[in-house]
Amino acid sequence: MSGLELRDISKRFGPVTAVADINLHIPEGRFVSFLGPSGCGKTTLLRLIAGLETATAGHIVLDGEDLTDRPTHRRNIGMVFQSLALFPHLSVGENITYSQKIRGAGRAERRKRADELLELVRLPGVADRNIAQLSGGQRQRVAIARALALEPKLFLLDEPLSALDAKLREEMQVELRMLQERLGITTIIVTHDQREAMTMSDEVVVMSTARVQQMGAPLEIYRNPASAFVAEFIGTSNLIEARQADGDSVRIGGQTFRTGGKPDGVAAGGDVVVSVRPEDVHVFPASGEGPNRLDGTVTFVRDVGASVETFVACGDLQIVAMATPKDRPDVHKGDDVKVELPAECCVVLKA
Amino acid sequence: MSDRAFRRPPAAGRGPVGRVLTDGLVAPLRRFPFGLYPTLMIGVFFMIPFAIMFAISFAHRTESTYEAGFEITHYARFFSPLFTTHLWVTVQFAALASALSLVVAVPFTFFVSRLRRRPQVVALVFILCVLTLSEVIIAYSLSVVMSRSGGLPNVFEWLGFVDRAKSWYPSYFANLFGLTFFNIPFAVLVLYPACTRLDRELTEAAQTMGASPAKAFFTVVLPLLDRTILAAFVLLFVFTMGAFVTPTWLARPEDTMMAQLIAEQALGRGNIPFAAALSVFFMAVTLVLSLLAVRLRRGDRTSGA
Repeated sequence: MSGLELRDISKRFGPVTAVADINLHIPEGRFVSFLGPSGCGKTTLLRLIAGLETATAGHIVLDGEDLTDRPTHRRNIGMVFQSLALFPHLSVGENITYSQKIRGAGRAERRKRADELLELVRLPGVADRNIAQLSGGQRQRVAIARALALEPKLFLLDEPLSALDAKLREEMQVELRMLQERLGITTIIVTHDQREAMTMSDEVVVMSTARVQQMGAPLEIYRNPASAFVAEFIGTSNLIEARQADGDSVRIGGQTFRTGGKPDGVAAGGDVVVSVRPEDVHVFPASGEGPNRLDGTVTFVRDVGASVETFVACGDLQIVAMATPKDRPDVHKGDDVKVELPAECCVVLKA
Repeated sequence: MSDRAFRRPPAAGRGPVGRVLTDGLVAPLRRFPFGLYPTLMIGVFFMIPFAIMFAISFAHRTESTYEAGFEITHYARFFSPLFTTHLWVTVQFAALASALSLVVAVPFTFFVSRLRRRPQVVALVFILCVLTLSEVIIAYSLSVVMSRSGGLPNVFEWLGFVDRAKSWYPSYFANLFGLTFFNIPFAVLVLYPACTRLDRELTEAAQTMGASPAKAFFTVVLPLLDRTILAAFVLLFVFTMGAFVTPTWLARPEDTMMAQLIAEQALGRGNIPFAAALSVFFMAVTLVLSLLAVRLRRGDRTSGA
């Protein structure tokens, strides 16, 4: 099987389990994100793939070859570190061609390759500069060029953009994705920023407490979160405690709501959580009758120009609705309203 | 006082006596410029003795002691073979012992700094323990280990490496070994802060780019530590130049080092002025090298960039 396979990978540090029985298959040429809160094991998993940590159990297989016991320097990977780890004693060009020098490439060849790579990351003409002379964004590009110098089979990035300011980070995300598409290299990025993961990846691996919670295409995960944790972590979500009723319906506070489906293994009467994305919630004036609607009172309106968020208190529940300015509901703080949770947007999760 | 953020509440029961004590005795103390304290200490314990020694180095030597005078005969003796030979021997030992101790200490310290916290502490405590041993104990222990009757030579004879055990000391090698051994913990202490500051990700990055751990050490760690290593070398060099106990125990007479020479001139032959002149020269060399070491440490790459 081509691509990267992780088979029953576990890593324990003394009594702490950092990674527990992870099985993953990443097909060749994919861009995959390991996404999760800090301490969820995503960085450890990346370091296991790089060989910087030794797995307690399991196998790492790349294109059918077992890498588990192979030291880092013979794995043919390119990696961008969180600190970037550029060598302060070497020039930009020397940094980029460090791997070639290790392999004994000649001076002219290295020079040529450095220029090519700097061209690739759109930073030409800086080969002879010092690392200290570069800005944060430029160092980022140098680190990426350096990791790609040997045309590695795997391109690994450990929260590489976290040091950049918000605007530059968003630019780099798009650029990194376009670069990866051009090179077709299997890429794994570790991040705790769901927006970053969704921007760049073909597939997102959501992790928490040393385990994979869900893996899938960004929109798939966003639309059909497998658990309340995923629904909460990817974007924002209204999570409503409910009780499973007959068929595709739930009971919320004495009312029956139709839903988009029913989770496996939950019988009628079982506790469930309904997840509804804010942008799917509609707000109507109090007179508007219809199915799947809750009575409530507007407590706050956050209008930031590009979007409008309406906070509605429905008894003990707080429901947030988000709309574009064009679709903004004509309601104000203190108004009595009805909120609609469209049936097809109600994702029912095990409690 | 004016720079205090909050006024202290008045002390309960502070009577006239208290006021006299605080205002009369403490107040003048407050005005005392405490900044002068280091100057005073250096003056009393360092400058004055040095001035006396400097004066004596120009004094006239008599049959049994010396008398006031101004002559440069003692400094002129520096050009005699006695002096130049032993200066050369001292420089050799200092350079070799410093270099050899660094060859051992640099990889060791780097390795220790990469360990997890607990083993790191154990290793450092062990090194500090070695530091508490006096030079006398170390030199004596080494002489026992290298002696014909009780030490390694006998083991070698028993193993059949040599036909007949011979004492390994006094010898050039024994002295060099002793000085190196004594220097290692100091080298570790000087190198340790810079080693801990080296980002782990730097060597890891080198490994992801195809460098074996050894190659990463030589192409990344050593170049980044170059200034620190050079500074450590100069400090150890200065330090070893003044060695006295180890060469007294382990060195041959022809390998007498400068400190021994000074002691012999002062104590053995009563030639205080010549000993003083040697000391002045010695201090000048040490001062220059120490300043150099300070400059080098300022260029430490691990703290910047």
